Amino acid sequence: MLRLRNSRVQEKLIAWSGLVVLLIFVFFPSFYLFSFVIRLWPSVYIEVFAHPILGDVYWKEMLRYLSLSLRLSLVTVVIDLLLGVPLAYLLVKRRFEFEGFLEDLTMLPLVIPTSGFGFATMLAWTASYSLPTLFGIRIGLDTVVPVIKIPLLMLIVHVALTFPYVVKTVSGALRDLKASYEVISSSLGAHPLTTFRKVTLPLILPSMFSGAVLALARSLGETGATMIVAGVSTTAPIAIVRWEFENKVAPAAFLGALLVALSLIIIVPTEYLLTPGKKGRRLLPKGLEARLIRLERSTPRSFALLRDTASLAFLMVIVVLPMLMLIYNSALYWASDPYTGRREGSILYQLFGPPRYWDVIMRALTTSLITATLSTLLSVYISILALFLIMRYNIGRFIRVLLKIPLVIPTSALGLSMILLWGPKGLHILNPGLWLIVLTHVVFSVPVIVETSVASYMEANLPIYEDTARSLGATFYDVMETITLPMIKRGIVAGSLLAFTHSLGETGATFIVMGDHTTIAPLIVNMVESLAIPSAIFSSLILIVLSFIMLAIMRKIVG
Amino acid sequence: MAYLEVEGVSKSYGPIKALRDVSFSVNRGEYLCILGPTGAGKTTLLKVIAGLIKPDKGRILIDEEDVTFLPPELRAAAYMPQGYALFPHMRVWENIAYGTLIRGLPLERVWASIKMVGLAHKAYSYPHELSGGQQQRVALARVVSSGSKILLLDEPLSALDLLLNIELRYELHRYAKSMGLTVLHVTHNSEEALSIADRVLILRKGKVQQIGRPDEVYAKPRNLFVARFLGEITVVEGVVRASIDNRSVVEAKGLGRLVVNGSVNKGSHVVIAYRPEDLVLLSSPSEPYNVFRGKVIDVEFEGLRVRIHVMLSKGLESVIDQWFVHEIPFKKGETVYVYLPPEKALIFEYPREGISQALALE
Repeated sequence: MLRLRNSRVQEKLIAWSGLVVLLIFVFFPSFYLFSFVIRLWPSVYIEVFAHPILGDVYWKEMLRYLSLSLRLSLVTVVIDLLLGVPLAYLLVKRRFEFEGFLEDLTMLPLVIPTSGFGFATMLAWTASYSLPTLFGIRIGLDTVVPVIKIPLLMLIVHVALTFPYVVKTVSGALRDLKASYEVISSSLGAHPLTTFRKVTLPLILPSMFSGAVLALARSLGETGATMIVAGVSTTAPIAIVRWEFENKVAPAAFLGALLVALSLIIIVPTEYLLTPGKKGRRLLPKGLEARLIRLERSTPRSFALLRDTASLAFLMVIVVLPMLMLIYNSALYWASDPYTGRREGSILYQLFGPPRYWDVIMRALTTSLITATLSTLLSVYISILALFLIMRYNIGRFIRVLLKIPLVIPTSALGLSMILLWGPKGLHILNPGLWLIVLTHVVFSVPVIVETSVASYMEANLPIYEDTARSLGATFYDVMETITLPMIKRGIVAGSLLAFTHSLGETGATFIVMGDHTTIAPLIVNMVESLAIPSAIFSSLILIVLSFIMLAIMRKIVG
Repeated sequence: MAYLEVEGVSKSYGPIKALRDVSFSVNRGEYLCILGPTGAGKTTLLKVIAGLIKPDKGRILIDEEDVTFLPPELRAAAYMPQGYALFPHMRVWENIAYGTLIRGLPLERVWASIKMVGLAHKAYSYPHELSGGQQQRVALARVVSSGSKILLLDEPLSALDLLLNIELRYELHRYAKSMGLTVLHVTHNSEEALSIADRVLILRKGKVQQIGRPDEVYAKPRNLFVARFLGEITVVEGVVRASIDNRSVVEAKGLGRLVVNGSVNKGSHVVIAYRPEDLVLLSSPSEPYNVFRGKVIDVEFEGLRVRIHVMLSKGLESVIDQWFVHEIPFKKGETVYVYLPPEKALIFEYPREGISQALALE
């Protein structure tokens, strides 16, 4: 009878502790800004809307920043879809060598330290020997796309950092799609384009949509790279960082809460709307349909080649080119400044000369590695507990949707939330520094690990193994230890590596919570701002090489 | 004495009643097949016995001990889903030793059961390296060495092709018997159930329809559904006109007068069913009664036998089996006479929900 009690108690204990740690470490920080704003509403109201001297200047500014952020993310998503879907098609449908490498390249922006990547993009587009100058065009931080009035570089960076979400979800859907549907369609006489429009597209539409939603939310919250290419323009996340540093907590918190609410409004309904039910599609008017099919039929088959070439070119320009420019620039700046020829402007001088940037970089790198390791380990434990809650209980589905939110919360809003909750202005448990960074990174690491673990849980069809094990005499805990964890090990490891890499490169939130414990990604922003370009080049290179290594390990393990 | 008893078990999922007042008992060492269409509640029943699902009402007794509220690990009933769910990350011997180690039983029984199923040479292989038959034997050895006395099999052979299914089901039966296991085997394949079970339990919409020896349920189905589920039937509905001396005369719809054995109340609305092998095909009306003219509409050649579809009257189709001896006896389009032997008739009360509903699989 003792064992009986054990088994029940084990199950309850794990589920409850899962819920509690999720609340404390993930959900409280994610939603704290709301409660902060509501609690201090009178003073927030005065600061934002009715300042005795400034009036509603902050509110007007906020509207301007939000407008830019929204315009930017909407345009970004449109471009993501236009370029991402063909690329996903290329990755899934074509068989060629270096396929894995190409896929890694596509996923690179997801794991890359954003500040490093932002810097590389800036070099690639604005330097005097950059691609646009080849065509006699000069692009600077102040170049603005006409009509929509968005800084061009910002747009490029946002597209580069968000299109992988579209590629990832769409290529996942394409892989799940039974090839037979397309084969049947073409054996019934449909042109590939017709097949795509009438068969493939309707089936992958939900994934396209959810990829777009992720991309939108991510773009809305992007901080690290945007800070580097922002120039004089300000997006909402950047405003939060700036106000936080200027100690204007009320407007920062209010804007942060607005951004979190915006992400919530975008994510939650789509998650619920997209899963169930398949509606039939109405045919286009008969005449139009026939004309479309004729048009598609007249498209030469070499269209596919064109599509693939364009996709590859896009990938080259937006992801590979910045990397190459970074390498090129580190060679250029290695021994002397290429423009002035002065030794003081070289990487070697800045690293090992009197500025001693080498020490600074190494200290920041060490801090980064320590925080990434700690936060990943902590996240793994939390995720395992959360996994049981999600798979075994009815509220699991709801929790899984909620866990999408930390992934898209604007990082600067998250950083602000952390400091207001745990820091000296809130519960006063932690000061800005290493441990606060760890806790901040846990917030977005847990969802990553949970997501990959849940995926491999479903894939491995675990419930039948768990049931079998139970009936062979295993208690709840036995099953967890001998069946569940060993079988989803790969999912957990893959998620951890992803989380680790993400943590290594996180910029926006870390900037706010790091105190004196500078990590490497914010260090790059600081270097760029203090015009220590050679050191910035070198640090970006280190970070990107590191994330490449992580990606390779991941591929090796997950296969 | 019954080893496993299920008493009045009910289970609902919201508005769906998966099990309604299910009661039956199984003897020690018996092989019981639970047969029913998809959605009949078979898997739910098995999981309730295993302890993976709690019933809303009713009790489960194993060896006279009430186990209704015991968790799965404390019952001696091992649940095996389709394909047996061998743990893919463990070797054969680890799979077989799983229950033994977890329950802290002496390890000698692991090797004993590995040898029993003849897999000593595969002890260090992984499940995916084994053939279907070997996997099945690992699953059986795993149950035996875990100390479980009851084996709950959930559609174990459903994913296999026909020939492998036949081969493995006999092996399954043989090993289970030699190991002295009490087996509950869930399937939707009536042939599989009838060929290996000691007794068959037919479940439909969560309710027990009939339980009995295979030959018994086949020969004396309790209702129209059981008759249809165990094999094809020809169905005729009618009203009893007279009943004397264990013989009844039925006014059959679309046929006219039909004589059947058995006494039924005069005036009652009945359904008469015939198995294909019980009907006789004649080339001329050589019997005095119960002979009806018809036209062959289809001939299915199945090797050992030939199944002939005859249209007797508008909308009334009969199915007749004949042995195949050198040539196919009747051709499509031919006019034939069908004899319905009175002693072979299966007589049922006319189902309240109508014939098509009574036969419906879902």
